[in-house]
Amino acid sequence: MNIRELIYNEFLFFDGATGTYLQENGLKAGEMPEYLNINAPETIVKMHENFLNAGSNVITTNTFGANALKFYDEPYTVEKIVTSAVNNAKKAIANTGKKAYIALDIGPSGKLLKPMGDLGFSDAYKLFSETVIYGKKAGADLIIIETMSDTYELKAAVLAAKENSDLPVFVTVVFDETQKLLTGADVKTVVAMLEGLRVDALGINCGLGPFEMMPIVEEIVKYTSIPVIVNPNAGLPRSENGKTVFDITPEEFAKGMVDISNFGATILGGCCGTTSEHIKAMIDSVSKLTPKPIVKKDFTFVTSYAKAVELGKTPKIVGERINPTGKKKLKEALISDDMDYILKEAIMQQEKNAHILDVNVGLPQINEPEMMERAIFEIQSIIDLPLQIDTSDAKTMEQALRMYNGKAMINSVNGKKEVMEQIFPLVKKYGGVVVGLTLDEDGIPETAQKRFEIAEKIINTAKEYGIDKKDIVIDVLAMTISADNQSAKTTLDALKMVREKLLVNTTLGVSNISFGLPTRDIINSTFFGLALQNGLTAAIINPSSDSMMQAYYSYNALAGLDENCANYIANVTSKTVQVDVKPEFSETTLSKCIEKGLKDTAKDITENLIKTMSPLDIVNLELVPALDKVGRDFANGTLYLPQLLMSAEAAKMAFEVIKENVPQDDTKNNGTIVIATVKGDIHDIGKNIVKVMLENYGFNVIDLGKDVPVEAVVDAVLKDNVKLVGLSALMTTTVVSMEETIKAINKVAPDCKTLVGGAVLTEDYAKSIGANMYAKDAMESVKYAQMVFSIN
Amino acid sequence: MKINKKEIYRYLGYKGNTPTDDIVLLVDECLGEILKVMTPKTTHKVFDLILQEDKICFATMQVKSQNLAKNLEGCNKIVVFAATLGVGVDMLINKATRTQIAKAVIYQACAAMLIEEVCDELNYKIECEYKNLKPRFSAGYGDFDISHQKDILELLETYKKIGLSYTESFMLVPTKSVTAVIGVSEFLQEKPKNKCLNCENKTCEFRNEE
Repeated sequence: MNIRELIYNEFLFFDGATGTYLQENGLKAGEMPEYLNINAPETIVKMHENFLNAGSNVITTNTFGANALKFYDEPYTVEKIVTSAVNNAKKAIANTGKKAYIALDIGPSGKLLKPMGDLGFSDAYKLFSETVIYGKKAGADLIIIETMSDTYELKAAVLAAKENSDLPVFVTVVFDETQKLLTGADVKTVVAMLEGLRVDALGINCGLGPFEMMPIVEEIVKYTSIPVIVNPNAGLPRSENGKTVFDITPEEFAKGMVDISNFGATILGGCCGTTSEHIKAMIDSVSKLTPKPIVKKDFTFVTSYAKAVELGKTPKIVGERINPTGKKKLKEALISDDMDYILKEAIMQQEKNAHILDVNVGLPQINEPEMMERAIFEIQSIIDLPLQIDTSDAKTMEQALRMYNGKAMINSVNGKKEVMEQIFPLVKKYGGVVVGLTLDEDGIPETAQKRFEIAEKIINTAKEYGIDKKDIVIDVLAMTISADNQSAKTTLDALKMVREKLLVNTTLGVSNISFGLPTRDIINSTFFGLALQNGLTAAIINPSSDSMMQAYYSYNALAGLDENCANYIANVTSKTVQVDVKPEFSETTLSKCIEKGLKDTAKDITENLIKTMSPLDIVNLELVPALDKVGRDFANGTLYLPQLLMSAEAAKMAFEVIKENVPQDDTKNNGTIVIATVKGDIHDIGKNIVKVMLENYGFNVIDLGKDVPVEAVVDAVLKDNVKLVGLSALMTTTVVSMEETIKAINKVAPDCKTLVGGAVLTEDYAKSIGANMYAKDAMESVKYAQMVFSIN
Repeated sequence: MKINKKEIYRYLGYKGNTPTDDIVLLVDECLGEILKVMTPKTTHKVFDLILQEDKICFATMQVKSQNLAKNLEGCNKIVVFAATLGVGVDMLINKATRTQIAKAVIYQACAAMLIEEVCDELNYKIECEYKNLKPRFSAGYGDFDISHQKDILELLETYKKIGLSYTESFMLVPTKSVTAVIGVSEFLQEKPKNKCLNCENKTCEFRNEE
């Protein structure tokens, strides 16, 4: 029986702790255990023999940290470490004459991935690939990816394992007592992502002892359809005379593992602190039991790196705002690369309680795969909602699915053979919940029955690819009633048939129903209610439409899906009953609002002023004097940074209103400035403060972000013939790249000035690295910019 | 955990002045949000310390630093520790940095106060066990080279234990994190009342001269 079959029929027993054994046999704190594969192979072989004699039928190679970040010099290359580690395991098996599998052990890289850290996803993939390639070549029987605490790193490791070998892939992660990974994912999120990536078994290791793990194991078994691995520590670690010790005896450990196997886990072993005695006691007790059958589950989860959204119970909202179709401002933002606008739309929808965000960036003028990757990366840097990747380009879809952190919603396939052939292999490989549109080579059928048949065809074809129907969401398509007055009825009938007969989840672009009609909100929200009643489980709508959200909350309350009508009361009644408590406009002026930092009032007043006053007058008579006053008070030390920034934000709101009301060419541009946090530096609050202030003073700011390579700054300077660059660096180690950046700018654009700032910089330090100017705060940056561009 | 709002105001540049009511409210709101997302974790180990003429040795580490050597005078053990508020705080700050810069600055100040509190608590715990402690000292202070950040993190296995890692330029990630060493002396230590007075950076805008 091969391993893939065996794990559905029998218990599999892993070994215990490598680190604990090696520390007891001479490994000192801070020394890397992987060296011993080469320097003391006999110790490693002996360790494996101990576990084999205890009854383990899987032994893990001593390769936890064997990646190129740690091992790059002869004689300790990744290849040599991994090869010798697998050979040591083989030798132990030969010496003992036992039958056992060799698991190639892969631990975390030790680096946090971007956007949190500085290791790129594809770089992480390369690191893991190397280990996999050598492990497979040396003769490992399976791969165990373990002790993972970040879903993104985990995804890189799993892809590396699957794309560079055909070995079974087992995965265990570290949940803490709150049942979360360090990067925030809960059990459902991890299970959904790993099953999507088609690993062979999954579970938990390290961090906790068997007793603390039980509730987590219960949760894993509840949601997963594949075999569950549990490798606990020998209790919780405790410090004794400066040494880490674990308290649980072999007998207690065995008792805990019996309970764990009763919860349904079938692949069992130990982590930190577990000796061959622990493993022997466990095997003696557990092998008397019958393994619990592995039961298929039917949950539909769409996830980010931290959140799982379940479809099929309470209906869910998919926010439709990040899609350029019919949205002029988003189109402009995409063309001008204004990522902040996209992020604002994302945050707005999150605040309006969307559960999933649709992301579509398809425009003929832009490079879609590249923009899609950037948009997903940026959104996932600040928002933890799952995303629906919306593109008709298969290349964009593949790149996006590869780099997406979680199990995405995929928009979409349809009944066309060619489209299914393109998209289903991607769903199979990367995982995801895929939307199936009920149209095919003949177009959109006019009858509900025909749409139902296409849905059936999509589900059956998916099955041939190994994609379960729990991962399919059918869209029976809403078509406007202005063209066909039966179209809503057809959609609702089809929806009901699909939901009731095929038992799949459903989605609809709800507002399509009213194209070409006046006051569309009323039709849309009424249709929305009807669609929900007929089985709609994931509605693509605009969450900032009050009438749609009211329909949503009312439906849930009426359908018995809202306990005590709590969500209805919290989200609907408060909004409609609440009296508008804005301050009296007549009492206050725009400049006063800006001085006080009242964003919303500043916006309202500007909207009124623009009707009677010229934009230039608003800027010169209200905005600029207020900003100047606040700036002066800040410089004099009578007003502090938070107030300065609140005023800046209020002014920004006013500027945005003005911009919307004047033609693009008339907006004031005092000069273009490139700003960046330099290469190697990931702290960008200071730079962003400067950005907000410069924009308020009428400068066009090109923000290159953080950790910006020298070449990117140079390219930006040359592209727009920029005359001023602002650079920020926090530490002495990154001031080095600041100096390199300045030198590179001076070389290609000698008349471009450089302005620098950051915690460790001083005026002298700035001079010594060749900067033209040091600014100690944002106001000084503004003053210098005004000087460079001869303003005032 | 102790919440020291005065420290937050100090980090915001108030230099002992009281913020206006609207800022006090905003700080409270931001503090509440940070407390909700933070997942503070710490780890530490104790090693025998050998002070040689030109280097400081413990575990697998060898450090050349006169400032640290001075700090560790009379010590025979060394505590190495790491603490972090977790990635959730970074996420919150990053989000505000892109959209609500005033809040970003306040989150940042709240987090700075909180990570110091986490360190103080751990420091106190260690003190109960090992008594005479020197003031904590971090890589990057004085001539204690920042590249030792990597050695400290690897020695404590911080990525595995508390999710703390570093960048190529030795910045800690998550960013709201601290690593430090604490000397354990054989003799009773006088406690400095104000940590700022031990610091060489006399022009620091946050310096507390009280």
